[in-house]
Amino acid sequence: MSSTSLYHQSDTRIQTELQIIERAKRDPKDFAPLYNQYHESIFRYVVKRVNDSDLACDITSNVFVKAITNLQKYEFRGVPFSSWLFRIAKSEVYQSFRDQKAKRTVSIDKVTIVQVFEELNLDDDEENKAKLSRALRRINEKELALIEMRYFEKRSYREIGEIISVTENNAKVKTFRALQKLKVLFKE
Amino acid sequence: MRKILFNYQDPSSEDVQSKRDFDLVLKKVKAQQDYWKSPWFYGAIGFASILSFLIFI
Repeated sequence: MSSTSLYHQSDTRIQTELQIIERAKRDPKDFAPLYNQYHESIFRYVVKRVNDSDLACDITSNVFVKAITNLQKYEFRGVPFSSWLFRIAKSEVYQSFRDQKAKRTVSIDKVTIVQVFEELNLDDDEENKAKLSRALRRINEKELALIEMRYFEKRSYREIGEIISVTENNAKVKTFRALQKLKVLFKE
Repeated sequence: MRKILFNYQDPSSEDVQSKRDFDLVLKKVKAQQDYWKSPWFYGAIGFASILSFLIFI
């Protein structure tokens, strides 16, 4: 279920990344392979939430600036490097909302919305879309972020857990509760 | 108020890749490092500290 995520496939890949990180701590230019690898997934994460390509470009750039300037603090604790980047991206996106540079957007494509309605056992019609819009506007930000990552971006619970700094099981429980809340709000 | 888009279209990979600019990232990193190293920065901090001290006494 993780079409959006670029997840580590092997220990070899993790080791290669760690070597790049160690080199980049000494010389930021050596960060280039990680930038090339993760730029697209970070950009997609950002642009879906801010709905502005130019702003997403700036925010993505800032995510990597922050990653490089804070690289000395990065320690490998079994969590993929990409999760660390997504955490920075999350923080930068919320900062842009606080600075009122962007309006919080929830972006769902045509295929995904059909799957979401299937999950909710509902018809994909205009009335239900209007109800879902209302529910998505009312649900709190943390719950929305979980629903967004799981159902609209199809991330695994493991990755969601690593992005929000909780265990895989905890991510599963929290996402389930968020979906229940969304269902309640949908019916109101 | 959140904006909800039901017909979102993902940008193409080519479009996203055309936005890559690692040189810009490096320039921003260097600018930040230069800012912290700048004598103006520490001069301003020092001046503010002395001023606070003088006001305090």
